[in-house]
Amino acid sequence: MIQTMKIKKKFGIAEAVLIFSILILIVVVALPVLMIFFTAFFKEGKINIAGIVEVLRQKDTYLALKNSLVIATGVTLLSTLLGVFFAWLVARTDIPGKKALKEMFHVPFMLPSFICAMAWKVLLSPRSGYINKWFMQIFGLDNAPFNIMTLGGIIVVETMYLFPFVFLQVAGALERMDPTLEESARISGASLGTITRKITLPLVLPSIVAGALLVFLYSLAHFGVPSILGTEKGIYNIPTKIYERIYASGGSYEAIRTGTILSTILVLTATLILKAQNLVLKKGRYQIIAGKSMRPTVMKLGKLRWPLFIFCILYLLLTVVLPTVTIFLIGGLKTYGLPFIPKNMTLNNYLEIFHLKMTKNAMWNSIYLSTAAAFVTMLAGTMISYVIVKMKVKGKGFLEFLGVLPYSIPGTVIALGCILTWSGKFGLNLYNTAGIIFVAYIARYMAFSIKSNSAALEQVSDSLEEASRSCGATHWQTLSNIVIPLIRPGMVNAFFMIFLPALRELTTSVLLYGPTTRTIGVAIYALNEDGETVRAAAFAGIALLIIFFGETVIKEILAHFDKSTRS
Amino acid sequence: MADIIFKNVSKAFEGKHVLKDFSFTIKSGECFTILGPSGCGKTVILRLIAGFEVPDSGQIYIGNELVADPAQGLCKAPEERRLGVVFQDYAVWPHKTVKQNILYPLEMHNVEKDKREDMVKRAIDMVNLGGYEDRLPYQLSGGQQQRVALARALVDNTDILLLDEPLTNLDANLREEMRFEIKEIQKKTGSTVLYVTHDQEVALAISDEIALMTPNGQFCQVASPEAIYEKPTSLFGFKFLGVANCLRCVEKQGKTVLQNGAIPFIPLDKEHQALAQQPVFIAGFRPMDVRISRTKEGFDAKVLRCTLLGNIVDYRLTIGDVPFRASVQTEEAIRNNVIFKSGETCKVVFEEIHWFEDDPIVMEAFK
Repeated sequence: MIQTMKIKKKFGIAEAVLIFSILILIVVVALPVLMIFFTAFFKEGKINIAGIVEVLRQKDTYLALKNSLVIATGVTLLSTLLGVFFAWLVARTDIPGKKALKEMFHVPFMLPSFICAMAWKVLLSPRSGYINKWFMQIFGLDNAPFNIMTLGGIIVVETMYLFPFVFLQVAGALERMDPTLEESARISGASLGTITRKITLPLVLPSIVAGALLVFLYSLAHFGVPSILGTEKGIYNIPTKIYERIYASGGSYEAIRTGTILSTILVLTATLILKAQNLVLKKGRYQIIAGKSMRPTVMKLGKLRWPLFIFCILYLLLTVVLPTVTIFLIGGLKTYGLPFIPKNMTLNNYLEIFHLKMTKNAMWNSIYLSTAAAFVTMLAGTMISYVIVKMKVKGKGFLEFLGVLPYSIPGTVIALGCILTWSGKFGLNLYNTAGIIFVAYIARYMAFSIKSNSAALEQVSDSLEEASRSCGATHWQTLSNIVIPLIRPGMVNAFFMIFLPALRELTTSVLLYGPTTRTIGVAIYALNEDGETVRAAAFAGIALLIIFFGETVIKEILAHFDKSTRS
Repeated sequence: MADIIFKNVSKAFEGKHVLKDFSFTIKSGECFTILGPSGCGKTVILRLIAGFEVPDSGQIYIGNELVADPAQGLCKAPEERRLGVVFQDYAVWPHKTVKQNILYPLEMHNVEKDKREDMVKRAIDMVNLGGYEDRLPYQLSGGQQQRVALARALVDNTDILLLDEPLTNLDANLREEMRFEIKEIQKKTGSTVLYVTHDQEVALAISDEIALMTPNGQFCQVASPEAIYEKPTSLFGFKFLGVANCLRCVEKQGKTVLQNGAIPFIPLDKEHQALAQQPVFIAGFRPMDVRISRTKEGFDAKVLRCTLLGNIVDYRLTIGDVPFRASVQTEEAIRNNVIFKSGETCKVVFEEIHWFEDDPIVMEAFK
């Protein structure tokens, strides 16, 4: 008997998977964004230009927009300088302890910036900052010498924790760059300075730009640092303004609508930035950066070798160790404001975190929400990437567009969109439940998952699947026997790329939490806002431990996966 | 019986026809090679047989069984066709050991468990991979990986083996060794082999029958390797199978002369008198078919360059302004004293001339 398979079916498995993937993306990602635009531009069914103009003419919204731009620009410039400088030191000079330094420069990435902002506020706030008080005592000053609660302070603190975006991109590019390009310039008689300016810099420019724009996008929509350092002094950026409006009005529709208008501006700015990035990157796409590692030429630092090393160590001590230690010390104080002497210290605050209902809940919420969202997003991302990379179906371009959409959508905007979409308008009311945070996380991190999975799938050549089919395996058997095992590292990577940031997420959660659905970030933030600085610090300390534990254990797991599937 | 038959098969990609009304038969038990330049559509034929592509029209039979007929809405999935396929990039699964790779078809075909061990061992022995069973592919060389792919294609006693440029990614020595092994295995198993390649050496070495495919997707000659090489029926085939001299000739007052310079040349043979009607036609000959001497009879030629390449001496010569290549075994060249300096003159005799119609595109494309 001839076994047959019908061809040219109008509706095959491929189409079904495609449509299912598109549906997920539309419901979870596109719908919330559309709701934002709709709410911003329409009022009671009519186009609402007057409303938009009115919102933008209010002084505080206008100022928030300006602050957002000023902060983002400042942070981007500083981060680029720092990131490129450190990347060059680590990748291209004979500075001692290169490997260890490179690892250390990753650390600021792991620290949640709002926790560090808390530490810096404790140290450098004009009224009660420990360092300020100390300086005033020693030098007999009348006024505090430092004030971190300014625009400049916000920029500096954000830079400390965002510069690794640039560092990672540039260090990677410098290491992978074909050294013969520079060597041939040197043979042609160019000095090292000229080579750096005319050869090296233009070649790594795309990486610098990519890193800088990530910083810009992140900072533009960043909630944590400006809210901790700025709100008290009346300095708002767009995310904190949106939060303030909604919080102050108890979640009124009018406040949400103002939020959507500000969000629209954020999204438009972000989209423009990404477009600009694409232009720059397209222009500078040379095929000079090889995938394999080569031995780059190393510059001799000479006398500056040790001073620069000490500078790096001081920088890390100042930006990583000092705030972390501060958090742990404050968390151990009996009462906030006491000097750090053994008599005033206690472990009770830390123990309390595990007994208080609010903090216990927050830990549990964060852990299960991050796990669930990471898992679901990973699976959905795998499916969507499979359609994008492997399937020959029409309409996958649309899928690709939807998949990368969340890149240009700030967390605040996703949160607002979720409020608009999941508050009963479409028959499902998730407001004030953990469900709304769950869908918001999925929307926020879907692009990560698609990126990681696509990269893994592109490594799996079509012939590996075809070989399996010709060995008698069906499409589904091929998926489970060949494709999934081969992309498992990408999937695991996607999971952790979502799980870890979600665990400490603040920007999105802070707009979505309800009385029983605080996450770790929200709980620390709320404690701090309520003046419970000590408790907030204790919880932050525990959060740092969880994050540190997560990062290190997970690195081991990933390394293990990497080894077992090396090909 | 495992004949493979194409009947009027057409296939287009994005509106561009790759195969049009294509018909041919691969006889059971033979090693059939499709030889053609890259992009001619030869791989598409293999993929149609394997079931990775669906034809737009026509029928494909494998061993008397209809496997694809779009008119009936029929196209058997690859896994239902029971073929062995070997890919250019080996397609050995990197997460499975050698043994697991070779075992896979048996698992998928639900072969009885107690038979599997023996079958795997036989396949491993056949490709000389004994001792490598538990290695992972990254621990193997390219040639060894290709053997794994071959063993995997063979293990379940498939009647039909499809090989898509399996030797292209190997270095020259391995390629020579492997093409010998493939031929041996084919003889041992008696399976039908379809071999797709652009490498005329491999094609000539292993085939029972070669189908020469033109860049526009047609078979221009289907014949034994000897016939393909010695009796090319088209200018394309002649040029594709090796270094070729193609001189444009015209018929003037009953005499064959070179188009460039009107120098008298060897007259058209009887078989090809029809070409005399053409404004231009081609005289083709291989460098090895030129006899060179200092003073014997023949055409006067001038030496542009004479290069010793090892076992042969390579000549760039001209008759009038018309350049061509010749080669002579080094020993013979020394014995006959025909190692020249640039600018010297010599006598040449053409031993075997193939006559073709002129085809400017082919003349341009494969220089």
